Amino acid sequence: MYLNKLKLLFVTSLLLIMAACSSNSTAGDSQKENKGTTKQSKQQANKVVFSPNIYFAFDKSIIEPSQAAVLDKQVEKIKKEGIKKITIEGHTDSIGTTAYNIALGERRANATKKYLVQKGVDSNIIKIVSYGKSKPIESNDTSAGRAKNRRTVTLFK
Amino acid sequence: MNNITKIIKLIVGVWLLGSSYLYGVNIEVDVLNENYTPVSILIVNFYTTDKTNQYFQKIKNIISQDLEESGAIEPRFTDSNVINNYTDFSENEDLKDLISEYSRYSSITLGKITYNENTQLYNITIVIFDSLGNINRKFGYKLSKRDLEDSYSNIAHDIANEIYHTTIDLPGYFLSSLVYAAGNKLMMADYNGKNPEVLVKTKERVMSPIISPDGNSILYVDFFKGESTIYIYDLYFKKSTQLATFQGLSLAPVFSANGQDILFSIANKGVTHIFRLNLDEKKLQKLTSGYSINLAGNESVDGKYLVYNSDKSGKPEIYLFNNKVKTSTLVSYGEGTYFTPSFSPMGNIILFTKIINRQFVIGLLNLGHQEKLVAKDQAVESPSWLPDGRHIIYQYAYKQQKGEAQYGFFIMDLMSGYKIQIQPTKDVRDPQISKEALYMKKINTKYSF
Repeated sequence: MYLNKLKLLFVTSLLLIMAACSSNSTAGDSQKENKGTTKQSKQQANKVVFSPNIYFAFDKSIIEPSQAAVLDKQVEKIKKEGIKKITIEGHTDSIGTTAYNIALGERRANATKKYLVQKGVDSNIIKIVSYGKSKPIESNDTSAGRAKNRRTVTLFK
Repeated sequence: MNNITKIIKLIVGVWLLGSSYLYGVNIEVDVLNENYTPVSILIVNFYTTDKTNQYFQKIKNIISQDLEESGAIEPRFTDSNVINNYTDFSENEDLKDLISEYSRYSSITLGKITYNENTQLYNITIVIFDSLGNINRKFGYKLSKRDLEDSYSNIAHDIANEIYHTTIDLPGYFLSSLVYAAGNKLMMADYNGKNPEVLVKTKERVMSPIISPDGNSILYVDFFKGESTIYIYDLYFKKSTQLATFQGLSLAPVFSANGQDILFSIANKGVTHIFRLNLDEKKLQKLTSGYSINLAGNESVDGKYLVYNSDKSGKPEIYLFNNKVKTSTLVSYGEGTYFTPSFSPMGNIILFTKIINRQFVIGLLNLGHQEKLVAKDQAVESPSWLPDGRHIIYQYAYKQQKGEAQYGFFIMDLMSGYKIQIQPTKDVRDPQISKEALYMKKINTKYSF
């Protein structure tokens, strides 16, 4: 009898501990989620990244027809939503030196800008920056990874 | 010496860089000579009997390390009581006998240390003899105990410079300073990476530091949120000033040979061109044109030519710009793409980075149209010359994780292929070594006799 009571007490305690842990975990996750959402909302208020990126051939800055179609959608969004501030970031893969890749990134960002302007976007609202090879999104060890890094990113504010 | 160097040695063998059509000067650099042996020299005495001996031991160790790590000289140290009895090195027969005893060495350096009770000064005298007993160089330092404590390291590097210069006939670099970028910091250290200090801290990233020919200032690029701006840091006043405001991204600055102009590139509207900015008149002159990326290397020592990197032919190559007639000549000819060209301090050799099949290599181009690759480590980049024109320093990547690389530097002797690894701080890039000692390393206790 005494043993049964002890068993019951043990099981009850265990359940209570588990419930508490579960509750803490949920609260923690919820807090994290809230923090994340707040951060994201702030980010969204400041900038929105338009996806997908525009990709380029090695050492090139020509907008390929497949990429032009992606840019056409960007133009549509810019006009539809009346976007007033655009930043275009140029990026490269790791082949080439730092300064050369910053220049190449600028050239790609400029080619992207030129296309948007040709399609009727006001050139005065577009700012060009270049990160060169300093911000890869994929490993530069593979040709697929390098292809992903040769890109421009358009940010709307 | 690592395997890569050995392999390169086997491939290239002995490469003689011939005469220059630019200057009409014959400069021969025996690049990566498989049979090269360092010059043996002897350094006699370097101790004192009192408690300051610890500093003299340190001086001896620094001299030894400097010379050995140059790959050019193999120093041996010995002590001799005979030397301590003499003040006039040239007249004594015993001394001449001693030197003839060591005639197998290319040079013999005698170091003598005395202490004057009246003046309370230490007197270090150094005499460098050739193997025949002729005096090549005599100099000394008069130091208080405080001077000795504060500057023993600089004195040691200075003595090493003198021995190197006398033995090899090239300027020493042991008292020069290393300037480099480390993440968001502009850094300075001894030539071998020791004693690093932060000169400037920026918000995001520092790039391309270059020391002015007079050693008074450093140009660098401050990179922040995808935009780059050129600053000039004054080493005396420890203050940075923005060079000027330009539309576009300012990149790759260098000083002209006379230090009066700054050559740099502006990337704007899809093209990157080289400009010359006169520091006094603030006059800006555009040097390149067309739909291309152009980045300045440096000017030849006489200021007649600018070597630069351009992709105007369809791929990055090396060009020479004649400052007088304003025309460019393509000088690279091999496969692959060429970057970061720079003239050697003496004249007719161009150091460059090359990429062949995604592999970064460092090479030398003789203006008589010969090319030799000298370093093939992982992702080598940003090579530059040491003041002797025989050594280079470059950046290499030693570890890659998710596309992120960690970097270190190598100083390499082009004749022997001997390399020393330098890792002054984390995330180091774009190394540059000053032409001579910067003002804070000038030694005012030195004298000739």
